[in-house]
Parts: sequence; structure tokens; C-alpha cells
Amino acid sequence: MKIDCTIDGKTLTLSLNSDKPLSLILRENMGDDSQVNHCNGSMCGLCTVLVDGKAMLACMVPAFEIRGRTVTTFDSFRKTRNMKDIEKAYESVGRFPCTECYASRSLIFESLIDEGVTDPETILKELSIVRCPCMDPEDEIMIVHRGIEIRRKRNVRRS
Amino acid sequence: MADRKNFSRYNMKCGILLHAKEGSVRISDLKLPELDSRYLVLTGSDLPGNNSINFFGRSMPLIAKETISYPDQIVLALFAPDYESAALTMREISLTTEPLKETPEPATLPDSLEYSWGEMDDNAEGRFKEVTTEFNLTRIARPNRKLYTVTAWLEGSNMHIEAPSQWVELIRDTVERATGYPKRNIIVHLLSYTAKHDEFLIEPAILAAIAATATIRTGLPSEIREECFFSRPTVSVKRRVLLDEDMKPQFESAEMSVDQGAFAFLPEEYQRQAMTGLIPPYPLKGFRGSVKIISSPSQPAAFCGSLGYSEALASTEYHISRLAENAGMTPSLYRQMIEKEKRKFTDYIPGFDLTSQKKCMDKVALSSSFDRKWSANTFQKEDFGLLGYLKGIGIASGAGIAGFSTTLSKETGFSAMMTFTQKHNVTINTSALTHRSTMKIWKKRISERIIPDRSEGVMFLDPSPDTIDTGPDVLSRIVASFTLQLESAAKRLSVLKDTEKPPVYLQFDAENTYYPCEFENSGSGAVVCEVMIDKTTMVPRVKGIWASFAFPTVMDRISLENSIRRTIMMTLQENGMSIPLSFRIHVDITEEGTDDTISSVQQLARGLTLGALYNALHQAAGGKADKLPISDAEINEAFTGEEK
Amino acid sequence: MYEGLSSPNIHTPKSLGEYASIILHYPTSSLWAGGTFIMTRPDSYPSRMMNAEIVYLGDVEELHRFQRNDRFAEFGAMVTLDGILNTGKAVLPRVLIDNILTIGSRLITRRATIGGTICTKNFTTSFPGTLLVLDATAEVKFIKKKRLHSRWMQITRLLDRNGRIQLPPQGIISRVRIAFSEKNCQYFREIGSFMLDPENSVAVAFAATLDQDILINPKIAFTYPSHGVCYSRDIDSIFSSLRFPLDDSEIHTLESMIFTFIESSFPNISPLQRTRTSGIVHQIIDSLNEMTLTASPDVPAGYSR
Repeated sequence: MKIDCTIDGKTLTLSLNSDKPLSLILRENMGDDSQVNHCNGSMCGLCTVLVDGKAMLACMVPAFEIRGRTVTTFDSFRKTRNMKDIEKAYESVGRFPCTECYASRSLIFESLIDEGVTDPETILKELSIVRCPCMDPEDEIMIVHRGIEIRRKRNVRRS
Repeated sequence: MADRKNFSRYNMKCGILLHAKEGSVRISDLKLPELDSRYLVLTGSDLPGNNSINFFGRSMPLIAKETISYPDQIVLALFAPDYESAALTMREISLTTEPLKETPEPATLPDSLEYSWGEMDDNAEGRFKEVTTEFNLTRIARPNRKLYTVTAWLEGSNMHIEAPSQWVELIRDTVERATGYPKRNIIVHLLSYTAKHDEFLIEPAILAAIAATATIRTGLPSEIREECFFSRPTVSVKRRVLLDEDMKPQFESAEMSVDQGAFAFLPEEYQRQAMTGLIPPYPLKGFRGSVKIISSPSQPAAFCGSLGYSEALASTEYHISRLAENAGMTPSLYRQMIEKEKRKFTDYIPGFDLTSQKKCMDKVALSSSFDRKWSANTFQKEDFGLLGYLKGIGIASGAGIAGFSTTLSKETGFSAMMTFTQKHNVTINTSALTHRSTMKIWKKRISERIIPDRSEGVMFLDPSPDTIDTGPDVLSRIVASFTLQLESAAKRLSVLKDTEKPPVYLQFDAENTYYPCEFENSGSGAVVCEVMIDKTTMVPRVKGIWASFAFPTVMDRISLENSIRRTIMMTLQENGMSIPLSFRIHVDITEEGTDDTISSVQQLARGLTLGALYNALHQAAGGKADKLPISDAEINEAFTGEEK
Repeated sequence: MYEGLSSPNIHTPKSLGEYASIILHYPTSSLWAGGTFIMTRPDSYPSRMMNAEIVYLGDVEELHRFQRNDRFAEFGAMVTLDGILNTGKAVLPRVLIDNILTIGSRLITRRATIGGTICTKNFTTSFPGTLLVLDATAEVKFIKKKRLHSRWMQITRLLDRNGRIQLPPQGIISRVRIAFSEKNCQYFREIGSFMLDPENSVAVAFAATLDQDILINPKIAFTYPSHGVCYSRDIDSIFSSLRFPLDDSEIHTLESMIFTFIESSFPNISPLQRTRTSGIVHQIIDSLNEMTLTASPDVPAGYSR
């Protein structure tokens, strides 16, 4: 099946099995095997990508669902100004995710910061999908709160 | 680092592995579907060279040949044009096994390591109170579901391997033995990795040898995809102690038994590391310690992040808490009563000052209200009672060690070379220090000694066939014992550069760096862990962790704290603990400002967390569920007696 | 892409009429809602078992509709769990909201659909039990004599003898109607992970109106993911015959009656599921006891979580 989509800013036509999970497409067809895991249904949460700006687990998105959609992986997101905000939040709180879950956590942080979610319970529930045990809950809440502050200040400066 | 060759995936063989379901069996039949020329199947007899991986003098088959020694052992590798067809074809392969008729020859294991001092009293006159304790850790052997790939391709006369690896030299060695390709022509491109344990130490080398064989057979680049794997051995420690009328320990024996699985890697070093953790910090008139390695048809357990020190330290800490319980005191008070200012000097660890360790313990005991909570929890008499939950709190404290023992370091002679070049730069030739953040710190430290304010003049040479093998990147070697060597080499080179004409070469190794003991202590810490078991869920939840550490030098406080937190979280999760949303880790780090060695944070934090957790679980479950890791089903069984 | 593995054809009907004609042409095709369940099965890809035809329901406009009046809310089967939370958090029964919140991350709830959570194969999610205690009804569309028919059915009627949801062949759930419950006692608890540890997890949904010291129209459903939903009118009747607060011996009798029924339906539930079920039953009764004892005579007992 031929699938037209945009991955990391590139408009592509991919010839794929229509039910192939996006996580495997990114690993095999796009060569992104360092940032995206494929855990075969054990819900590790290490395959987060942004699909049309919303965080999703790539292992749950079949190829036919990305037709005409925009997929952003951490590979391109890391170069954006939004990622700089998240990095600043990490630095300011003094906590960093480990290299294994850095990509996934950062993308979920981005979706929370973008939405302006401040409710601790919602933040923790959203991040609970990443099952890597490298961060404690309090730090995660602080990073989101700090990230929102940094983003707001940047937006004010810009306007 | 050389770049990966950019070949098309359409021209590549994709490999997956068939793993055995059980160990200690014989392969009676291996049925393959009819396969065309696009497929390649590799079994144990298809490797052109030696079907074995050699690790510090001990070996294990790459692919099981006739007998399967342990569950998960590789039985076959299947290469196909893509992963889809490989996966579908693999489902059609049927492996039939039968139990072994004769007992397999056990792996050659070292004798039990014994260490003792003083004459043991057999307590024939009943002068002493006798207390026995038992500490059990069961095997952890599971993939963490993280995929990684190992790729092999040919380019001219060179065999290229791309893999994550904690020991590049092992890959080159294994590929050479399996394929007969000369080591000089094997070029390894290191992929970045995060190894929580020793996931990328042995298996990538096995996969590289298999992928290289497939490449030679097909002439095409070959890739193997696999979930990374680690295994912690089953550990059991039995202690018998004789206490005087003041409940002070006088004589003690400790027997540690370690099941390293079907194949033992570095068992002698395991024994040395474990013995170091087994020796108690309090004074004794007599002590007998033994560490015995046994084998079983289970996954081989290698380093698992600690090579035994953490587990042995945790067992010692558990033991002290049980003695305190017997004495009717809280562990923190009991330790003050029995421990002296300094530890006894032994062949394994020096007689260092315990002041900073005690300070750490006081800090965590105070911030967690340990004594109050411990005493309150001891009143939990009945199962769950009216409140519907049980609580437990545990404490552990100890000193850090890092790297390999003096004996192993001298035996292996891993080295590195530092050169002061004609352009007045410093180059370092080592296979270690591949992590960018560590390299950055080291560039700064070395430049301060030799070429002040010019850290860009310090260069770590890219990996090549001429790279000097500095040994495996495990047990925090590169930030611990290797630190000593680098520091000392930098000092010597700073003198030599003024007396000799550049280039000045300095090859350095462990030879002159080590002390009379097997390990140097460095840094100390204490951890308090609070656990709660809910009657309805039977889930063991960790309510909080209080940790305090003291290190001689702190290079990067943020990284250090992050590392401690990660190790604590990982240890809790690995051992079956549930982390509630309200969970918090309180970490306090003190820099002592001395110029001592740097210890492995992971080994220390892991051992202390394990010890504190074991103690907390013991108190919460009233001793009914004394083992780690533990599941909610096992806790349920302990309380209801109903087996699954 | 492997030539031997045919890539499934994806059909994306825009309306239920189109859906019907596709189903008539390809009667054995697989239905695809959010994909959260299908995609998380081990070995879900690659699979020769996966039908060559997949009907993706995400583009059927009717299945995304949400309607409400003062009596009930009606959701199209493709409304996501997150969509339900966003549209009806304030008005929908707490037991449903709590069930959705238990799922956790919105990375899942943004994809999982209400229809999909009811229609999983060989696995039961916690939703059928919750909808059952809320007296929810579902519109089932099915093909009969080459025509698309529809029928509103109570969730209880969709349960087969084994506690699994059973739809007519080629049938789908198109809408789910949930009445704005006036039941003042609603309770939902899920222990353990349904997806990762189905052998040890359990969910219990309970809804009733507590009037003075008796329960009116109580309903309780126990869900064991690898077994199914355990529901009985007999248990409901026992609850309605009770006068609260219950003492220890009454609790014990009630508990043993419940277990007699559960074990007759699902003899193989694990000891941990048993302990957890018992714990939840106790929590429900404790909460009912507390409500009875603390309610003032004028004010009806309130919601308890």
C-alpha cells in the first residue's frame, strides 16, 4: 500500500504493509532506531511521537492511519525552540530523563506544556505511560510547571 | 568514530533469533519450512570458526548445538529479506526437545572463597545468644523490551560491525573466533547506548559474530534485531552470629551462595566483590565468610551492575537490622552501640573511618523520623489489623567501592596511553571513555594538570584497530578506578613534558595505582525506605526514600544526583515495588573536599536501596515475605496461603 | 515489504450505508476502531491471521456523534474515551468517569473508543461492567437478509453465558446510550493492570440509590479481563434486601454468597483476584455503612468514591 505522509517535515510516499505499526516504520523505513522502541505490546511507552502535534504511542498507530498526517519524531523536534524550553526546564529543575526515555518523556512534556496542563494528577497520569523508572513524580510535575512558565515568557517576549 | 555505511535496506538481510523455552534439554528435532535462497538459517554447526564466546578465560556457545543449557539460549538465527518474513517464517519453525538422559556436566566453578580472622567459638557452654538470619534474592531474568540492532557488512577486506557495546574488544575477539576474520580487519562502529546493567556486554558480541557469519555467507549486509537482556543471579546469604550479654556481636559466620546460571562469567571476581560486601562493619572477635558459586540450568548472570557487592552489602545491612530487632533497639541506635570509629582492616577493604557514614545515617534517620516510625511499626501485631494496611521502614548504610579488584586488574593488565604531542596537545588512546559527558569532564581535568585553560587540546583518539583495550565499561570503571590511573598519568606527564622532547608517550595501567586491599573504599551513604502493603491490592508500594551520600569530590552535582535517583528508582522497580504518584526521593549529597578516589555511585546506591527495601519489607510483612523481587501474587500467597 | 505477506486492504467507509455494502462484499473483514487493543497484542504484526480486509471505522461520521438531552447522553461508538471526558465530565455518572480516569494516560484515552472497549475479542475491558451497572443500552447494527438492521439492546442482553460481549455476526455497536443516573451510590475500582497482568487484575462497578438504609435498584458487576464480566440479578436482589449498616457477620454472609456465584461462573480466578475482589466488596460495604451512618435525615446520602 502506498501511503503519503509527512515525517519530520519531509513529504513522503511510502510503500508499506497497511497495518505496519508506525514504530516499526520509523525504525525500519526511516532508520530512527535509537529514539523509537517497539516493545511488541508490553506498553513500554518508549515510542512516543507527535502526530499532528499530539503525543501518541507510535506502536498503536497503524500505517493506514498516518495517511495525510504529519508525524514529528524526537529527531526533528530536538532542533526546535520548543525543545529548548523543555531543556531549560530540565536545567532549572536540575533533573533530566535518562537517555533511554529522553525522547519519549520530552515529547509528552511538550504536549503537556503546549496544552498548559498544571494539574499534578493529570501530569502524572499522562507521563505514567513511560514505564522507565528514571524520574520521580515530583520532578515531573516541577518540569511541566517550569516549562509552562518558560514558554509563557517566550511567547510574551515574541508578542 | 567512523560513520555507518549507508546501504539500502533492500540489500540487507534481517535476522531474528529463536530462543529455547527451557534449559537442560536435548534438541531432538528442529523442523524448518522449505526456504528459498533469500533465506539463511544459522545453527550452531554453521559457524565457520569457533562457536563460542570467550570471556576472561571462560566460554559459552554462541548458538546451542545439541543440548540447550538454559532457557532463552539461542538455538538458531534466521535471516530473511525483511523482518516481516523473518517473523512469519520463524513461527513455522518447530523445535522439539527432550530431557537430558544424563545429568549435564556442571560448569567448572572455582572453589568456595573463604576469608576469616580470629578463632570461632562454638558456643558449647551457651555463653552467647545465637542468632541466625537468611537473606534471599531470587533471579531476575527478563528482557526490558528495549530493541537494539547489530549490523555487519563487508567493505573491501574489512568486516564492519555496528553495535552498542560495553566492551568493543570482546566483539572483535568473538567475531574473529567465529569467522576467522583477522582482528585487525574487524572495525567496530559503536552505537550509543544506555546500559542499566550489563545488557550490552556479552550479547552484542554474540550477535555480532552471528551477523558477521551471515554476511560472509550471503555477501550482503546483515542485521540482527533483539531485545536487550540481563540477568541477576539467585543469591542466598546465611549468617550465624553469637552475641554477648550486651547484645554485641562477638563471632560470626556468613555463607553466601550464588547461582550464576548455566555458565559462569568472572566467578572469581564475583567472589571477591561479594566478600567485600559480606564483611560486616562492626568489630568481631572471629569471622568466617565464604562465597560459593553454584550453577543451574538458568540464564547466565554476569555483572548485573554490581558483580555481587551490592547484594552482599544489602545482606549485611539486613542482618544488622535483625540483630537490632533482637536487641529490642532501632537499627540506627544499635549501630551506634556496636560500631567503632574505624572499620577493621581486611584484605578486601581498608580500615577506614566510619564518621561520614554515621553522619549520613543520622541525617536520613532524622529526616525520615526513622526511629519513631520503626518503633510504631513494631506494634503491628496482626495481619493488617483494623487499618487495612501494613507499613515497614528500613535503613541501610555503607561505603562505596568501584571497578575491578586489585587482583583482576593486575591479572588482566588493561592499559591506556597518554601522549604529549609535538603540537603541545594531549591525546589519550583508550577504548574506554566513549560517553560524551564523561569525556568532557576528563578533558577539563587533564588539561588542568598538563595544558591549563586549553581543554580543547585534550583529545580522545577515535576507535581504530590500534585502540588500546582498556577493558569493559562496567562497574563504573571509567569514573572510578580508571580515574586513579588517568589522574596519576596526567601528573606524571606534566612533569615529563618539561624534561623530555615531545612527543612524550606514557602507557599506564593498574600496576602502580592500587593499594594492599582488593578494593578502595570511597564515599559512603545511607538510605531509608518506607513500604506499605495494602490489604485490598496486596501491592507493595514504596512511600518514600530518604538518601544521604558523602563523596570525597563531586565533579557534577546535578549528574550525580540524577544518577542516584535513577539507580534508586530502577532498583525499586526491578524488585517488584509499585511507585505511587505521591512518591518522593529526598537526596542529600555532601562533598567532603578530600582528594580521594571516586566511587561507583550505582553500586553503592543500589546496595543501600536493596538493603533498606529488604528491611522495610521484612517489617511490613512481619517476615512472611522475605525475598526480592516480590510480586503482589507472592505477597497474597504469604498472607492467605493460597498458591496460584 | 515482504511479497508473501499481502498488505491488508483498508476500507474507510464514510457512512454506515457504505459500511454495510463493504461488509456484504467482504463478510470476513476485520473491524478497526481505535486499535489500542489490536495493536498491543503480542505478535499483532506481522500476522497472516490478520484479515486481508480491514474496515476502518474512524471515518464513519455517524459513529463520532454525541447527543445529549436532560435524560441521557448518547455517544457514537467511535467517540474516544478522552472525548467522553471532555464533553460530559460534569454530567455523566461518576462510575463511568472514574473508569475512564483509571485508564490513565491520555495517550491511550485519546485513541481508545467506547465502542472498541466493549467489543474486544477474548478479552474483557472494565467498560462493559461499568455500562451494565449504569443500565446503558447500545445500538447494535447487523446485516440480515443483505440489509443493515439496528436494534437497541441493554448491555446485560449482550453478555453471553460466559460473561463475554456477544454481537450478531457482522454486527457492530454504533451508539451507546447512558442515562444520567440519579443513583447516589456509585463506586468503581480497578486493581492491577488489565493489559499487562490480566490474570491478577479485577474491576468492580457498583451503582445504587441509597434511601435511608436500603438500596434501590442496586447493580454490581465484577470484571476479570481474561474471563469476562460476572453479573447476576440474584446478587443485585441480595443487595436490595439488605438494611445498612451491615455488621461483620452480615458482611461475611454477603461476601460468601458473592464468591459462590463468582466461582460458579469463573472457577479459575486467581487467589489474588479473589483477595482483591473481597477487598473491593468490603470497601463498597464500608462506604455504604458510612453513608448510612453519617447521612442526616433530611439530606439524601451523597456520592461516594
